[in-house]
Amino acid sequence: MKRTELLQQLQLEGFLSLEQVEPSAALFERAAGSDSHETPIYIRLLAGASAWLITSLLFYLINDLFLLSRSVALVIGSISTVSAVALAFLFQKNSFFKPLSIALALLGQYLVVVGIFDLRLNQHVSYALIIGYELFLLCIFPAFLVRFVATAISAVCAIFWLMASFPFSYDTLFNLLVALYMPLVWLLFSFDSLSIVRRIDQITRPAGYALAVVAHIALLVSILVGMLGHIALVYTQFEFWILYLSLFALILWQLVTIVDSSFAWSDLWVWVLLVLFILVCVAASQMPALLAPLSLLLLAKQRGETILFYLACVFLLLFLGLYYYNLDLTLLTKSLTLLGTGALLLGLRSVLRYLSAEREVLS
Amino acid sequence: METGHEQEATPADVVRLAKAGHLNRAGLERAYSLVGKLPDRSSWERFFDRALLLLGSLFCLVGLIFLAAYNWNDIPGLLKIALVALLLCILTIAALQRGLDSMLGRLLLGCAAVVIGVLFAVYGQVYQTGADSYLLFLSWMLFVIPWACVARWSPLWMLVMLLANVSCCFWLAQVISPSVDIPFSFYLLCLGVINILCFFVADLLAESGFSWLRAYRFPSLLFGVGLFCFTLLMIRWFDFPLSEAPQLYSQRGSRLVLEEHGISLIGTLAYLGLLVFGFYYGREQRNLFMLSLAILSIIAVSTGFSFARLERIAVVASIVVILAESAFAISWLRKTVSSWEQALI
Repeated sequence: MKRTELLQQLQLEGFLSLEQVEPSAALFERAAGSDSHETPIYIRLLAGASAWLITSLLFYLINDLFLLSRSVALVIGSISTVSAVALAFLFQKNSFFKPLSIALALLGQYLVVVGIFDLRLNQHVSYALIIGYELFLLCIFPAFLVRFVATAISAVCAIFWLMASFPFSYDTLFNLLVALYMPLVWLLFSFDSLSIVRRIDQITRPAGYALAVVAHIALLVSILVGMLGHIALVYTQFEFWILYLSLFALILWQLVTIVDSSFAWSDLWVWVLLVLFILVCVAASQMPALLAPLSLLLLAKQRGETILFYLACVFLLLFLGLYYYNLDLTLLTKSLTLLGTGALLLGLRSVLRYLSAEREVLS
Repeated sequence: METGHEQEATPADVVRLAKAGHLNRAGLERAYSLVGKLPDRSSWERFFDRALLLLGSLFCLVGLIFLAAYNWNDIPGLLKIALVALLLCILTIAALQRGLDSMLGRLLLGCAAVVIGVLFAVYGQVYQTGADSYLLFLSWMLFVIPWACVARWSPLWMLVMLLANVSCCFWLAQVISPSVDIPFSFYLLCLGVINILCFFVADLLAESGFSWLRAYRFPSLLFGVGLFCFTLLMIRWFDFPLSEAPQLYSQRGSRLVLEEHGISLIGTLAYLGLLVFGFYYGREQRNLFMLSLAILSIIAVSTGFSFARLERIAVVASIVVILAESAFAISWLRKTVSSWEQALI
């Protein structure tokens, strides 16, 4: 859609008043060509890769220099963090100092975390200090990568803190956290659209990505350790119901919001879709881990997040592959479950297509 | 020249309008839908349609592979093969019926190409031929090639290339390696050469009327895989410092180490040639992906060099060098992209 068409359409639908159209058009005229200055994805990836390499080298060097006095790490880490923040604010668009500030921030994060642990304080104090430091970085440092890492470290620390505070087993804890983190991911990405204007999304997006990755890795660990992500014949277990029902409720809620915003409840198509979802959830009860990337797929589409979409696809394939190693079920049961679910999905797709075609004919 | 109004509206334009206070929350959401950032009803319908098709096919295929792996004793061997062959026929006929120009038709043919591998695996299970596993992948690849030619769909060619790489590795490991002790660098050199040769062929074909080969960046991906192999070859070469040669010779045999150095020397020349070609081709064809890959490879090789050969103080120097490399590369790439855009206007 062209810019003029966009303005006309918005005015037609009453979102723009007639007086606002001209200033809006002038705004586009001023902005013409400015988009070309946005850095393409490959260049940004290259900058990110360089930053990581530099961080690795800096870490190698500092680790080599201060191997015997690791408490110095806290001091160097703090200096590194302060320098990184200063560089980030002074040279926001400089292609040399921006990667350097990211590299320094990442190095600082590592050294401060190691330094805090090396102080041998009470573990609750240590976890609180680390989470506080990371949340500070999340709020202040204007780079996606640093914010992503800060949230990921905070989320992992929260896991260990809970583990230190309550007598949970690894499996219980990981499944509980997936049940907690996944709705949080949804919340972070579903933040009011105007947050993009207020730049709040610059914090919520990396935080959402990090929590999604941590939640899926926690799920992966729980699958690899105890196969609890693929629970079979353990319906009496508390963790199964926490994980399964929370993901079920989350996807159902996502579908309800999608229907509310784009469809009408009176449409038969919508009800067939909901029935399909419930049937798939029943079929997937032997592999509840699959529901997490499915929820992420819906969220990615809902918020137009391409990278999140691919991330969800990768986790979906990974969990599907790991289903092979579920030792509680025979390969025959697993294959029949998959074939049945696949046939169900394809069959109901045909029903949905038929209903869509019928509606188009009627309209 | 295209004015600001004639340009395609982007999500950034919507943010501009909202920042200027021209849109409220509902207006912003609607504008996002109009520029395609947020899905509307038809977009959701398309998404569910494709997602159900892809997930359904994926689940069925994985289920079939699991079933083949189960090696069900109650089913006679011949019946197992017949069942998989029947599925192969159904998928192929369905693909042809839907037409190979449609997404569904291509996807069905892609599924059929995977089922060919399952068929060979089941055959191997039933008759226990004792053949090397490279033969499975090679036959699989040879059988998929005609279908990939007919389908004119680059993901099928990606499958062919994946099978070619796997076959080559297994062939070297199972056929050549037992009689001649092959250094690891030789594997990398072979894979690098295969992928780069295929890149040239794919690019030439894409230039001469087979433009569908360019979909999903297929030729660039081949170049990327080839360059990755040569980059690994270079980094690996740095793991053989000459000062430690006598010790290595005694551990691994002088011939093998010398061969490794010889292969790496050939690899270095090929790598340098590949880099020059990558920069030339990337600029000529305006392929930012290839340019970025070439630069990333240089950064990786220089880092590998610093880790393997340099002392503490030189690590500091290498940090500065990498920073300078990346800063220069980013600035150069930005200027290149900007000059391409100017030329387009």
